[in-house]
Order: sequence, then structure tokens, then C-alpha cells
Amino acid sequence: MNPTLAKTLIEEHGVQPSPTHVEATANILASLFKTTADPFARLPLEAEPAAFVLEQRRQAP
Amino acid sequence: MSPDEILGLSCTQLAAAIRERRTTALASMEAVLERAREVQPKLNCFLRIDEDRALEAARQADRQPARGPLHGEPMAHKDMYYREGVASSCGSKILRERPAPATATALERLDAAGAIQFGVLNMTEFALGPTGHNWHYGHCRNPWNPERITGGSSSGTGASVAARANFAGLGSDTGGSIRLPAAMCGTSAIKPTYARVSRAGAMPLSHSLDTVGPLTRTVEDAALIAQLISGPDPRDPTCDPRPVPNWVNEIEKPVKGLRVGRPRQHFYDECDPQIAAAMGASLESFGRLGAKIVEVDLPELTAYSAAAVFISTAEAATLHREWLRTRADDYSDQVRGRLMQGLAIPATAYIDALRLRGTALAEFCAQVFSKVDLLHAPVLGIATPTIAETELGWSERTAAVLARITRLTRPGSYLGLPTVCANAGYSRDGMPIGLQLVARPFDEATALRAGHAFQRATDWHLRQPGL
Repeated sequence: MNPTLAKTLIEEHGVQPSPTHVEATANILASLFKTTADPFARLPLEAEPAAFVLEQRRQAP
Repeated sequence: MSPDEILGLSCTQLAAAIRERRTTALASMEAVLERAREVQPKLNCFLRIDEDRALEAARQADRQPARGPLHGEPMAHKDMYYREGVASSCGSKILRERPAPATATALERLDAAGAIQFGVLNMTEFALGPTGHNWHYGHCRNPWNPERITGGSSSGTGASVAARANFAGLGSDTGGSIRLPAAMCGTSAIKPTYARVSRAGAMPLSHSLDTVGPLTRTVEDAALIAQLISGPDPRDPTCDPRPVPNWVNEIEKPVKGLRVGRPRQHFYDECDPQIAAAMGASLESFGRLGAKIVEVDLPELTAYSAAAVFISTAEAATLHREWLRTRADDYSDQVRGRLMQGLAIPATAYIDALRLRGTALAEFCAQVFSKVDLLHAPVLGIATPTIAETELGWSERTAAVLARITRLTRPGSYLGLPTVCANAGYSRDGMPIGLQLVARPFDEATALRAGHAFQRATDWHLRQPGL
């Protein structure tokens, strides 16, 4: 994520970030996007958030 | 019993001593209050001590028949469990004067069991941080070395229980906030399965990940307290409806034949050799108890941690957005920076992180729990940092430092797995080394049984810091 976009997204909420926080946000989110790109891309169409609760129950002893 | 003898007891032992009239609730309260006064200037673990009210409650308890299994037990909790009409600071400047809207279900259940709350404990501001720093009320300090961090965010709970200034207390865990202070302060603990314990009346940080649990002196105490606070609650729609097994009764079952897994990946990458050695010794203890030690391969956990950060940061930013807009200066720099970051997370990343969770849990269980009953691993793979070296504003470097601290706990939060913590030894410079026993969803019983057996075979949990 580039810093200009990070700053705009935060400011859209009416919040004023410092330059240090903008820089950190841009770099940290870029790293998180990179780490999750592959597993997110492999998610099937049918994967949904509520599946976690079902899976918890399915795995219970 | 002398005050020192009382303070040396676990919750379970103290409850028996009060029940059998070997001591009284009042004597216990006087002893713990005296100890709290003694350690507070060194550790800063309490945010408030309600001395007069606690002493009166203890006197009343001594005049009444036993109310429950914690009758007359003094306890203090992380300052984010609400009592109606009383301010819970949540470690923040923003909430320090707001009366709480309702009493937390966990507190109501401990009250019903006879526990007496005598104070509230220091914590990271809004539970957002794994070190135990608090820039509003002062940093909490580790009883084993006041220059070191306690771990957070349940910093005061870890420090007070380790210092024998509290018999047990509630913490909360979103990415490691029960497990890290337990490991760094040398206490026992349990992070129950996500949704096992009601979050009603507990400060929310991240609805999808927040978990309530106790830090205690023994695993047996963790079983008792977790048992009392767990179970369905109409006030928390996410709380699981299933009944809670009797963990206390099952805790003495032998662990012979239990399959204990040693992970081949992730947990020992970059691990401090002293920590790895303590883990090896604890696995040998399990082996002597008749458990079968099995090496297991894990799925790739780095993406789970990243997905957990998307969830926790986006949810926390949503809860704090209005205050970030109107009261930004009332946050410490580190917490403000972390929260603002959540405002820039795209909805698609947040939703994908939630969508991946079910698949990830299925993958992890298939790979791990098809081969073992428990995963055994360190809680923290690095030496406990000093307060000074982790005194940081928000930056990319801070994120990297904090990510190293939560590296071994965040995947378990994402998967919502129950985890029991116990002290497994000490580093050469005298700092506790914590192990975690991770079980399949809703199988707290197996982790508690194994942790209890380990403490029956070792004495690490009995050692006290020389304050």
C-alpha cells in the first residue's frame, strides 16, 4: 500500500494520522497483503466466516 | 496459619483451609492486602485496591455458610471486567471515569462461587499490546526482575499472581494476552476455546478473537476457575451453548498413553537455546509420566498470524474510530498508531481473514490432532525483553518487535484453540520459561489434565520471586 493511499483512507474517517503512523501503516499492511495473498486467493467461492464456528463444533471431542 | 503460610497456598488449597476453618476469609484478605501494599511500589501491578470494602466482605463471608468453591477467596482482576456503576479504566485515560453499564458475567459467576474482589489490576491500554507497558498509569514490572517486561496485556494479573499478592485473577487474550504474561511471570493459566467463556461485560477489543480466562498459581486452580466462569450465557450471543465438562474431577486422570506433539516447524525457528532446552526437559517429564512424544508437521502458520492481525486491528479500529477522531491525544502513541492502521484495512482483507479461519482450523486439526492429543511448545521463543528496549512509539520497527513476542501465540488465537500454560523452568538469569499445551477445540480437559500432571512431577510452579 502506498503512503498516500494509507493517509487518505485514515483521513476518510475524520482521523488525522502523523507522518510516522502513515508510513508504518503503509508498510505493515503491504507486508500483511503479501503474506496472505496466496491463502486468500485459494479460498473457494463457498468459504464463509460462519464456517469457523461449524468447524469448531465438528472438531470438538 | 501465618500470613506467609496463607500466601503460599493455591486457590484450591486456600478454599479448603477456609472451609475446614484452618484459616478465615478475613485473615486471608488481611494477608493479601498487606502483600499487595508491599509489592505495589516495586511492581505497579494494581490500579486500585478496595481495602475497606474487601475487609468488610471478608468479615461477612466468615459469618456466612459457604457460598461456593471459592468462598472467602481474595481475587483481583484485569481492569476491564465491568462492575455496574464502577469505572473500569481498561488501562486507558479515556475510560477512567466512565461508570460501567453492567457487571461482567465472569465476575457474577466468581461472586456466586464466593470469591471476594479486592482490587483491579494494571493492563496494557485497551488490552492492545503484548509487553505490559502502560503510558497512562506506569508500566507494570516483572516480579522476577523489575527491569523486564511482564508480558501483556494482562500484565497486572501475571505480576500480582507471581508475586503472591493475588491468589488468581482474570486476564483476557486476543493474540497472547493471557499466555504471554503467564509465561514471562511464571504463572499457570488457561486460554479457553474461543466462545467457551462469556465476554458479556468484558471490554471488547476484537469480537472474533477475544477470550476470557484466568492466570493462576497452579493448573489445578486454572481448571477450577475456568470451570466456574465457562458455559452458555444469554448475554453473549457468541457464547457456545454446550455444557461444560467437569474439568476439576477429570484432572487427576493419568496421562499415560497421551500423545504429546513436538512441532517440527515454526515454534523452534529462532528459538533461544535455553528455552528449547527447557522444552526438551519438560517433554522428558511427560515421557516419564507415560506420554508418547510424537514429532508433528504443522501447516504454514505465518499467514494465520497475518490474518489474525487483519481481524483484530480492523475490529479494534471500528470500536475506537470515534475516539480516534475526537480524542486522539488521549491514546498513547503506540496504541493510537496501531488502531489507526485498522482504518486503512480494506473490507475484503478483513472478510477474507474471517473466511480463511474455518479452512485453517480444519487444516490444522487434520494435520496435528489426527496424530497427537496435544501440541507442546514454548509460549515465547526469545528471552524476556527489558522494559527499556520495548519502550516504543508506533512504527514499522515496533510492529516487528511486537510480532516477535506474539509469534507463538497469535496462531492459537486465530484458530481459537484452548491452551494451558505452565512454568517449565528458568533461564540462567532467573527469568521464567513458559510452555503451552494446545488442544483441539473444546478439549480443555486434556490440556488441563496434562498440565496438572506436569506440575505434580515438577516444582517450577512452586518457586517464588525474591522481591
